[in-house]
Amino acid sequence: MVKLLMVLSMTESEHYQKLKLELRRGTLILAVLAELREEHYGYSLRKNLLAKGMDIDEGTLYPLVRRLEKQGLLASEWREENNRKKRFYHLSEVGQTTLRQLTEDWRATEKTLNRILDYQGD
Amino acid sequence: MQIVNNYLNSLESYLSEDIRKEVRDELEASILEQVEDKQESLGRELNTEDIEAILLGFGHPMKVAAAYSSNQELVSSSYFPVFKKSLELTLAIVMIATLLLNIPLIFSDANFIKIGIVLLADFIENGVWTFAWVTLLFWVLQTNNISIEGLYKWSPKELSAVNPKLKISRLETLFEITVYLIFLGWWNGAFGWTMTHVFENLDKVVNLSDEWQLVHWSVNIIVGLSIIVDSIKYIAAGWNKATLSANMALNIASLAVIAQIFGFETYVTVIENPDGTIPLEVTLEHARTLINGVLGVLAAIIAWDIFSNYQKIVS
Repeated sequence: MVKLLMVLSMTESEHYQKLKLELRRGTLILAVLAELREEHYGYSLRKNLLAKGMDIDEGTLYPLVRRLEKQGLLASEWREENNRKKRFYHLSEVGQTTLRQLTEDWRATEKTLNRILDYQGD
Repeated sequence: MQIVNNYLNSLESYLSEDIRKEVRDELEASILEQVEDKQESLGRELNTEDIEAILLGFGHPMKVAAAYSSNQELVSSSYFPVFKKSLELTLAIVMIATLLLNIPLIFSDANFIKIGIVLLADFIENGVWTFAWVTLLFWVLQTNNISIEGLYKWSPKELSAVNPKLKISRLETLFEITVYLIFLGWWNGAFGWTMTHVFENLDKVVNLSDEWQLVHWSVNIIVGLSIIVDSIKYIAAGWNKATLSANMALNIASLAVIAQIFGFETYVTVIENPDGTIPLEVTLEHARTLINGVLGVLAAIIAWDIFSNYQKIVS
């Protein structure tokens, strides 16, 4: 009952925002892995993604990068640049293989989804 | 930059010891670089509001810190179905145990309201403890990555044929159990046969006749067995052939007892008739009519229950 009331009280726009977030969540990982084929530190990674149209807030990006590193997909090292210590990330070997596989999956999913979205019926 | 320092201090307080320094250093470098970038683009020093806007972009320190922790769910989605079922079963058992442990109170002279409040308070207390322990158990399983996937192994062939018609409401069953227990308390404690008054009005005191003793133990056995069957139904939340058959057998036995009661010569005896405002015969006749009526309704309900159980078995 409570769940039903909560669903009913959500506006159409809130539903959309929630679904949009869900749709986007999985793609963030792929975008971050792909961008880290070149070495970046947190802020430069964010700026580069933003320049390509992918806006990720810092509160999401930094923990995500750290989780990916923990999973062995990224490697990192602390270095000093412009008198400031920064942590630079790049794809590990496992990360490269995973990125290749995920890219194939993404392309296949995109193709399938486009076929479904473009289907007009008989 | 006190505001940045405050933000990072707050963030640190939510992080675990092992990652505290690294996360702080990384975010500090990022915030300061953003500040420099913005100063360059605006061509002036940033004021507090500008820096506040940058920090707001990072999010609440507690949320950011939480995103760094891998386990953010007390019971994750893969454990939740088993967790929910375990809670249902354990709470059902706790409810039955609460009723059974309070049998002395139910059988005492305490009034119904007091009994109800004590039962509810006991169930809430035990239920909260059970909820906490079951949740803790699943949290430990999850934190230690102990897999419960074995419980999800299944085959369509192994699924039992559950007919939706055979599902029962736990609340209804609990109500039945409570009524049975209160009845047993009254039947054994408050009855007293020849000495205790069943009802009285201003001018007469009426007791049940001694003939009721003939059915004393048969009623106790039938109601006792009904409580056991209901307890099984309550835990399983559905009928099966065994409980249906047991229920039918108990209903048939109940009908036999009712038939025996119908055969009593007198249901009640009148001990006093001080001023004789209503003739004794009229009182006895009224009592007989009333008891016959109650027994008739009871017999009809039981007969309907037998018919309904029969239909369930057939289906």
